[in-house]
Amino acid sequence: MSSSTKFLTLKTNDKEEFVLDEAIAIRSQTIKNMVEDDCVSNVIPLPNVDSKTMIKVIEYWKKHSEEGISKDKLMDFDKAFVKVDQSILYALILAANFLNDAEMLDMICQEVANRIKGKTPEEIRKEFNIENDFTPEEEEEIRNENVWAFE
Amino acid sequence: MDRISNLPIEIIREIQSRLPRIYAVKTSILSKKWQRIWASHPKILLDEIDFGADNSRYRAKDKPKREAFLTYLIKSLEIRERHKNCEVDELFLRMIVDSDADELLVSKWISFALENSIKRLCLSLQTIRRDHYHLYGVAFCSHKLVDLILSDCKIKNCSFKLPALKLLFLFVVRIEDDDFKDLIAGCPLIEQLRVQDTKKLRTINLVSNPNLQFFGVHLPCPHGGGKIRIESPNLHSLEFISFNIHLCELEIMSTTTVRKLTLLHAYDPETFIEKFPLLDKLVLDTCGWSQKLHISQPNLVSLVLKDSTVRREVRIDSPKLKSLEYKGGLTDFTGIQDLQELEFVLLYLDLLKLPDNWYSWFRDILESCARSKTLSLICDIQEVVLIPVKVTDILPVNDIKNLELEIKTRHGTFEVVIAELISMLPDLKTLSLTLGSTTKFFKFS
Repeated sequence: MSSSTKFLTLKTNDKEEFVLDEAIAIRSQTIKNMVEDDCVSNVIPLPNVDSKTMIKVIEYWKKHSEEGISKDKLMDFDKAFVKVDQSILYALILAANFLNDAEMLDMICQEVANRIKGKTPEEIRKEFNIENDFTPEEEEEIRNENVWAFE
Repeated sequence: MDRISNLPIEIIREIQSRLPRIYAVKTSILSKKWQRIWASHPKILLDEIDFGADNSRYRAKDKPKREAFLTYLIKSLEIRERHKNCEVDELFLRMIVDSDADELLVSKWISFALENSIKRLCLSLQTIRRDHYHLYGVAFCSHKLVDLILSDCKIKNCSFKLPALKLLFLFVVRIEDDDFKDLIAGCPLIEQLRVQDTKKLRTINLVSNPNLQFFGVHLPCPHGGGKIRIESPNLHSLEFISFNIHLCELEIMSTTTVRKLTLLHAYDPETFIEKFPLLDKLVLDTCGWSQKLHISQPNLVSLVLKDSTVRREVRIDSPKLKSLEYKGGLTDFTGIQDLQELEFVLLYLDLLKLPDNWYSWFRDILESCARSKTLSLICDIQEVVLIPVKVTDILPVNDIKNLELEIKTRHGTFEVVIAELISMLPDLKTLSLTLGSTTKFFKFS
């Protein structure tokens, strides 16, 4: 008995190469389409992803492809996975978006939403470094316009 | 560094759609970039369930939630009307309409959607105590609308001018014959029509819709009197739910263009099937008939039989059949071994529901499918036991070379399943095995 495994080489924008089981790599719809359209040469370039982010993505893919892993364990993994610095989180969003991995994108968008939820606008601005470019009068006007939501 | 504001706007919308609506509105105050994103989504999703109100019944304690939802409706419409530059693709509106003010708001939203060249409109409207919402005298005029889905409404004296409409679905809609006639006349280029659980409707006349390809119907007329007439040279696919061919008059001019037929809860399906000689695909789901079923469509390529009661025998005389799906009890199949073209067989095995003697039935089926290129089995079981413990003498099934097997369980290991399969199917060459959500491919030499 031989398990037939095909490997793909993925090349990030900082010229690092990652060799990955095709069955795992096709969690990315982008890569899957390339494989199915047969336009895969030896190396698949990923111009929008750097190696640091790709390591995280592959960590996620491998864990979610693990044989016989329980739902609870996956949930624990996901929880820990998104507990990262903002800069990594955004790199992951953009990577998940480019690689077209709906499951991963959903999870990270949910995490960003969770970080917004329950905070006052001032707290959100602080957390995400958003510069308030309204004049005090403009801000007051918007607040009045949406007073029903701020009550 | 403000990274979140620099994300593509589609992703900011994705993030906002995962927030309670009020929080999405609150982001308007963060900065100029965020000010109107919450009311700029091209797909407008207005669902009172998102505000915590129970859509299935009217409860007094949901009143504050409903009020918050209504305020949201008013405010987001105001912003959208003031800033007309944002594109709108789709409007989904689901709510219980409670007062005249609500009614006015609903009609404002419908007008806004139609005026802004929306492509898809879904309305699910009820009045208190699950009654139908009255769409009375509404003008559905748009040259851009492609999909229209209406549920739970009552349609009366509305006008329809929808020349671009391709898809129309009516669910639990109260509409009378005359109004239905106007509706259909207003969308001449319709391609897909589904009419389900309508009240009052008795006559469906589709004689001037030459592009009609799909027609699906559930026309409850328990005492008879229904009448369906279709004249479309492009009619390709039909679906009938709870249909009794002896109670409802059915006249289809182009039965030979129909390639796909689906019958769900149908009475006397055999008489029905005979009307369509050139079917490619036939689906029979939960249809009851007494003893035998004989399928003899000469061009049939795909056959799906699910949860239908055939006590004795299913006989298949369709020489071109390539794909067979079966879910149900231990019915005998004849004719499968003569199907030269058979490539794909999918069996759903619910081992908990099947009687003890399932294994010999299963073995017979496997043997008659042996020539099929791919054999797929989906087993809905907790424990991975393919060969029942009671069976001590395993008669191997020869000639099965390729197998795709999915077992819906997270327990069990690939090794155990493979060991069982090899003893059962000695000629196996390739195997695609799915346990839970993991799939692996194996080759045997």
